[in-house]
Amino acid sequence: MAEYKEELDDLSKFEREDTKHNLPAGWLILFISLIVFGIYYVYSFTPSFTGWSQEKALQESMKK
Amino acid sequence: MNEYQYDYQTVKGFIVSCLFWGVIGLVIGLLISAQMWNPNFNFGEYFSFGRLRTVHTNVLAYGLGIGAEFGIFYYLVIRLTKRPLLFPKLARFHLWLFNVGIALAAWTLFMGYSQNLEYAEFEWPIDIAVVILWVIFAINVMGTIFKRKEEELYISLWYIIATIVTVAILYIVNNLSVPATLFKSYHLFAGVNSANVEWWYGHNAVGFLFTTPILAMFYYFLPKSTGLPIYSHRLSIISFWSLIFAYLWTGAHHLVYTPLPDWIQTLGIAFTLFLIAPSWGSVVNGYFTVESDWSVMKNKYLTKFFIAGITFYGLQTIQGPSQGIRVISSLIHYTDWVPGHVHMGTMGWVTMVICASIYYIIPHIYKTEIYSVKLANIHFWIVLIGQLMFSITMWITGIQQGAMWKMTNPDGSLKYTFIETVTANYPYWQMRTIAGIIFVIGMLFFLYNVFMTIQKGKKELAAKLAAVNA
Amino acid sequence: MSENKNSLYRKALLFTIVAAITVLIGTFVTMFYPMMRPEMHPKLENLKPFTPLQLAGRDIYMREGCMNCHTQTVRPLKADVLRYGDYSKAGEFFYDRPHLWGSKRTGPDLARIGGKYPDDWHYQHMANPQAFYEKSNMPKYNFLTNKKIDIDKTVAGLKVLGISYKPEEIEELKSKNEMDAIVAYLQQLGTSVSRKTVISVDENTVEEKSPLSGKSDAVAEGQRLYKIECVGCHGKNAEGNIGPAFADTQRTEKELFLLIANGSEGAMPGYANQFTREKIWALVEYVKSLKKQ
Repeated sequence: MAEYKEELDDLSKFEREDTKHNLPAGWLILFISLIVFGIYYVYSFTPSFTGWSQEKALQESMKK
Repeated sequence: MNEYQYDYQTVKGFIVSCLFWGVIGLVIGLLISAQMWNPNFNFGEYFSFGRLRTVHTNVLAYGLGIGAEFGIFYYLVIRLTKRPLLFPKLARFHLWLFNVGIALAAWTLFMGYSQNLEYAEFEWPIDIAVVILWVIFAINVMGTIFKRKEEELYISLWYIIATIVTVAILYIVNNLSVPATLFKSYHLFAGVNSANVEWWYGHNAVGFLFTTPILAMFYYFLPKSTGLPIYSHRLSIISFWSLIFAYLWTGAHHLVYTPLPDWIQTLGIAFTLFLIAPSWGSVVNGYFTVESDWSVMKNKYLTKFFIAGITFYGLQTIQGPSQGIRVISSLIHYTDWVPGHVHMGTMGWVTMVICASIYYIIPHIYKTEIYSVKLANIHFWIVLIGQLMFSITMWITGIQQGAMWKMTNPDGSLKYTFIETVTANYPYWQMRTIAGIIFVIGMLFFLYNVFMTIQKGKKELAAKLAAVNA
Repeated sequence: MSENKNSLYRKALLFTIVAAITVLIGTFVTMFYPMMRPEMHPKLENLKPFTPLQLAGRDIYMREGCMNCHTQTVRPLKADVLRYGDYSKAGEFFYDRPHLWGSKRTGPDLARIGGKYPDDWHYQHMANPQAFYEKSNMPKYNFLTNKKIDIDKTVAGLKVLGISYKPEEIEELKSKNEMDAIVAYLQQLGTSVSRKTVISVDENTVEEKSPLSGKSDAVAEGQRLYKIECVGCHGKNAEGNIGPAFADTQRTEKELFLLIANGSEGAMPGYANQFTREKIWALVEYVKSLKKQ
């Protein structure tokens, strides 16, 4: 068996020297569109903006 | 190059301890899965589902999960800071206290001493012990990081720091309660407020005990075991900050359609959806790291553990946020879909990455090679099959339950009585028990492999010493 | 790796502080801030604090981990309201420390269980759920009957919760067992909101005689439904238990129909919410078939 040598970790082996890799475009689109959707979601479920309310939604579903 | 001797005693201790608690938690898991379809598997007061389910979740989360995290972090931190632990003796005490603590905690849960706050069931004396444990751990790890020999903080250390800080805040606030007797207390918060605090804790316990620590392992062991550098530093940075920022807003998705004020629910859901992005930041980073050389999937047996793990993390973090949306929540909340979701995370992501990390660490600290790569591969495929069977079965039965609860007759009355919606699950619950057995068998391969690697390391060391003395 | 010597990723203390602030923002907005608002601490006018017996029962409910299978919150969703009753209001939980809303419905929601069944139903069902629902997966809790209430613990709890009590209420606990306590707890759940029946049958719309009369499969269907829902109270062979036997019932077919559909407050829940008229008539046919000729 080869003699086991324990070495300290070399951080430059964990990451590339430079950060030439930019954010993947697809991921960036996902990131931004989720923020936009989040804002839209909060807007659409805020009673003072859209008139939505849990009680009203229930009353409507009970009519069916 | 080697300036000092690494001391791995505590790491070993935690790994062996977490495996011990893991076996106990898994066996109890099998028992409660059988109780779901046959009440005759409830044995009196102490072995009834209501108590055992809590023992199962806590022993696995705190005994296996956190135990492994303590051990692996002690390993990671000294490697990444290039110095010994600041207080090695304190770490030994930490190990000792950890095992006593888990044993006591399990005992109290068997006795029914429970705060009934999910994932924070321990009563106040155990809570105090947990806080002491965490403070000891924090002092040691943070101290070591502050006095490090390596200037740069690697990504794994970011996640470790975030874990230590956030868990401390979460655990202390949620467990504020007023003791009445030695093992009975009442939550400081009442009603709606109690629910909000509990799920702020509950969801972030998942985030900061099962996400950030596992990502810390992932970011260290993936490059170490493949020899490939992490794809993008910038992606790591954005993922990290947006993850820890957004997580804390999301607890209310556990309380959709409860009396919790709507605006908190709505905010919670919006941030929950956003969490897909930072989670997938790590997934993409992992995939692109390996993409530079896919041959490691074949050549380095550990790669597939990490890639499968991060894949389930990716699926988990799409499924989880979508469950938060009102329309989906209304169908699957309170059904078996949710345990299916949880087990994909715990069995497919957390356990997968922990096992792979242990596979990496054990040969390193015993200065040997793994006992059998073949057994490790068998372990991988068996747990993968068991986990998939488990999760998919639960999703199917969860949708069925949700649908049966909802279905109405043309005259507006409900189509099914409650008991009909229960018994319809039995075949699926039986299937789940089988899936659990398969998973446990896979884990036994893992345990055997680890045990044999330790024996091998010890034997080789003895042989070497004998050669020196001869 | 960053080349910048002043990078955040080279300063551990600063990094820790920034991370702590980052996690505290969401914590503040969604957890601490709501806590300061009255909407998080509402109380319904009708809500009464727990009696000593009920609190003892609640402690037992917690000890046995009932919330692992039962939720205590009815969602404002049609199916929930139909099955369980009016949806849960924030003001109902003022005395709940902690909340016991739960996260899983292996068994049904219990938020409106109080008063739905008579006490006897709970005593017998807790002891042997399978006598009520043959294939129920609920464990038997018959051991509660043999256990005395821990009075000191209950008094300590009342003090912590700031609930006032009369000495005779404590005295009363001495003669009670844990089963009495848990039943007392269950029977008060959700009672601060008046019971609202979502579906009830108007008697003017019901025929005098069963429209299924003479149909051979109606009795079989009735028996099937009886086995699912009714055996607990009326006996496996309809010999009667908590509810009466049918052998000598004097009720007309229409009366039987209305009783099954709308129930009888405190004695029997109505089934109009989960049985169609056809099913209810089938049950009537089954009852008729048991009548002594």
